[in-house]
Amino acid sequence: MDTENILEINSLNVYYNKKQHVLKDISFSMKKGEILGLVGESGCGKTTLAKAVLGMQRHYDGSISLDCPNPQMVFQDPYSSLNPSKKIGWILEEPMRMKKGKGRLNHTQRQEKVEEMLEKVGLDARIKEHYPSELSGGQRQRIAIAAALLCGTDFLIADEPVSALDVTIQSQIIRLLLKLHKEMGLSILFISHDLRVVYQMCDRVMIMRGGVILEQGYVDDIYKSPQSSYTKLLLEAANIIDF
Amino acid sequence: MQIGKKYSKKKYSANLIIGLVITSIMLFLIILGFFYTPYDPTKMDSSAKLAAPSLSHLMGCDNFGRDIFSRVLKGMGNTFIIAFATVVIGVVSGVVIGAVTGYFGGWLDEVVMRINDVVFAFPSILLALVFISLFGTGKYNVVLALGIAFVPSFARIVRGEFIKYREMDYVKSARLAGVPHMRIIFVHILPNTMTVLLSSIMIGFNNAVLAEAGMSYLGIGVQPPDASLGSMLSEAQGYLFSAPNYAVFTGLMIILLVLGFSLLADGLKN
Repeated sequence: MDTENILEINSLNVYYNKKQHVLKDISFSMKKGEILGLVGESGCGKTTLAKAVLGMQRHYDGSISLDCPNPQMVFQDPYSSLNPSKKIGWILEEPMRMKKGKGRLNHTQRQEKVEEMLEKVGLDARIKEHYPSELSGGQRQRIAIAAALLCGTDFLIADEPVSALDVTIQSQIIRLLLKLHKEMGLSILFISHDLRVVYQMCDRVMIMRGGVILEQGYVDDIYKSPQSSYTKLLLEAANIIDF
Repeated sequence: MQIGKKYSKKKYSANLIIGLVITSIMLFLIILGFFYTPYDPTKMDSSAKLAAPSLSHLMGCDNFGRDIFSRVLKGMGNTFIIAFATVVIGVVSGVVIGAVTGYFGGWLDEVVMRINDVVFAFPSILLALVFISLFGTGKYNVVLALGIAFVPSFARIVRGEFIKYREMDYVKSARLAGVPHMRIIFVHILPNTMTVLLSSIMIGFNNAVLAEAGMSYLGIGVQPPDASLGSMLSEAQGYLFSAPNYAVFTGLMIILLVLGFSLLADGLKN
């Protein structure tokens, strides 16, 4: 694996129930500190690819090399990504409770880290005393991002993190992800079906359809001169053909 | 900072309040029965046989001249302990079996749940009867027999909840954060099943009270001279016309015990 890369996938095939061929011969790499967009219609295999990267797919062949011991994921639905029976403080402390040995923090240290992270994601420290049901969708998504980052990861998969939010909140979350990417040098695999959001967020983009990557390249190149007819169709549908 | 929702004052349902009042009174009487009864519940008095309710004997006396109120206090305690222990056995075993099979799924789930279905196919009272006929009568055998018979229903309820929750994103996040499976099961998921589990526990408790009463009524539960509501009701049926107070008060206590917990369960569910 190239030392500059954080993720390398070669000839990946994923199957459901050993029969249904979901991902077909997927190959790509991702540089450290890069934001890579993954675009495609619903059911094309975007989330399956994310799950394969995270080791959550059992039936696959090909190689997946990830240079990050604890990859994390931010999910699409902010309402199911936080445990409803626990307070925000407890949820954010949980990844740190799992640390063993020298890196283990006591309760006060964990609380300090939580407050620091809440500030980083633009939330007041008092929010840790609340339950998820008392928060808005945008606040929940910020908490989900904070929880992922408190695991100490430098690789994040964001699976349509803004598609369940309204437009103003969407832009706030995108700005937050970009800020964290800059400050912490995060590598982000950004999954979306919204080409405008991908244009704002990503350095490179991959277009996927029917479990196959149709094309990949720098965002400007793909948006200005798409090679596949499907990409052209997507850009037209999103009304951004003259970007 | 603005928090998404503001909650107004919580409103409690009438069922919850009535259930709580009835259950509190019944629990008070049960606890009272452990420490004090107006008369010795086993002491016979031939002069007071089938005596009607009076100031000296609030619920009257039974066919041996024993004070019914004292025996009801003692009997409720016995019935409550048996029902409580039954539910504890059923819930603890059912939660562990249901949680593990529901969370992990696969062949373990298939095998354990088929065994569960076999046990579930028999009515709990029939299963308990088989157990008692094999191991003999007595309070502890009744508890064990009913407890085992109650495991499948709790296991099924908990399994269903775990199947629902294991696919939630917060569970996937916990796995990614390296939280061990057992901690995810008992700390992350189990508290979320409490609403369903609590009302099932209440219903289970009621069924256990009725099952104990039924078994004692059939003469295979609590043995004389020890009192239990079921055995007292069984005795009372012979004197339904000569001393209806015996059956009425004993039956009323079973009804109130079950009704209190039923209303409480319904209130908690809402």
